[in-house]
Amino acid sequence: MKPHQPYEAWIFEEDLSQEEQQRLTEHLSQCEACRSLREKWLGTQTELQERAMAVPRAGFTQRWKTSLVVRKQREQKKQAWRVFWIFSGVASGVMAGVFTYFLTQISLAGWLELSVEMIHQVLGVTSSIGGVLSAWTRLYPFPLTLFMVLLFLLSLLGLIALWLFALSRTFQEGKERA
Amino acid sequence: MSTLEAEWIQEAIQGNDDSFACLVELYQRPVYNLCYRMLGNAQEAEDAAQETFWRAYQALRRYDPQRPFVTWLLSIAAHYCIDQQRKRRVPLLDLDLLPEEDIPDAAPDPARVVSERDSQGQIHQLLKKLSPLDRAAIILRYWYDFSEEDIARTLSLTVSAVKSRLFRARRELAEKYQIEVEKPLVGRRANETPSTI
Ligand SMILES: [Zn+2]
Repeated sequence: MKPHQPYEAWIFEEDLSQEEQQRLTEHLSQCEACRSLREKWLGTQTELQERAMAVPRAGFTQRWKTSLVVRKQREQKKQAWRVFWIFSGVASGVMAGVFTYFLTQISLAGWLELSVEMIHQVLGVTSSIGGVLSAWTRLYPFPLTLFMVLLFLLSLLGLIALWLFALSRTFQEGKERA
Repeated sequence: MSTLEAEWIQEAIQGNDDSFACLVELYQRPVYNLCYRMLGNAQEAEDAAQETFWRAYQALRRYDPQRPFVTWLLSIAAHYCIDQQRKRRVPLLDLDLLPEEDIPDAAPDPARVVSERDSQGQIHQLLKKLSPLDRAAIILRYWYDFSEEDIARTLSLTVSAVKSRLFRARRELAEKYQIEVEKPLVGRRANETPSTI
């Protein structure tokens, strides 16, 4: 293979000097292998230079416009999740920090005391809520209770709707900006 | 770059989607052709071309106006197609990204016509056998008349790397060119469609 160099490389070279061209021609007249390689390359080159351009299916730009809407929505969702994860990450980081801080500041006995106190308070709150509820059901007939529950659910729904509306507004703004 | 084109780019950067759509209309062919030559399949080329425009859309602010817009687009397309080809070894189907319009129409569409005429030569078959990066270099050289410097910039390579890749690819093409010619092709060609090229 070696004696074919540099001629073999020159076969594929686009700008040869006159001297190189001459030496190549000389080598080709004597070397069957290089001659055949050159012929094959010339055939390949001719086909390469025909270079038909492939054309997309009609309506490419329309398909772009349609996909843009979908892609933007997907991106927006991704962005929202990213913000959510960052926020949760920061929040849990802060919480972990605060927790470890207290852990190092308060002794084990202090912790025990604190937890007992907290459990006691939580129990107190639940029992007082239970008391209020039982008093309520004793004072008012069942339909009114149902009405209050519905009112509560409705206001919850209203809040969710308001939240979704705000979300869609930011979404819209993002779309206009993008 | 024409003034109209520069205007569209400017408006697109400022958020005008219609101006960007004009750029899509203007450059769909060079971008699609590159994807088609790289991936060898009409549907994959369509997806890759759409993805190229989406990536350009997202990165528009980073576009350097000193560079021709089409070169920038082709660079995005080439990198995307090279990545796709590398990923192909690990088939991973993202259902979310599947195109909605996926029904092949019976009418002879231009892409099909071109590829059928094209497949009568061996080039399309031969290109498939090159490594993605070598293929991209050959396509940019012969379909887009890029200089070695242009190819280097587009593919993020050094000029000497481009030179050696072009040499290797040309040699490989030339060697395989004959092998293809010597094979009886009559029976195989009859069922060739763009998806099998
Ligand atoms: Zn020789």
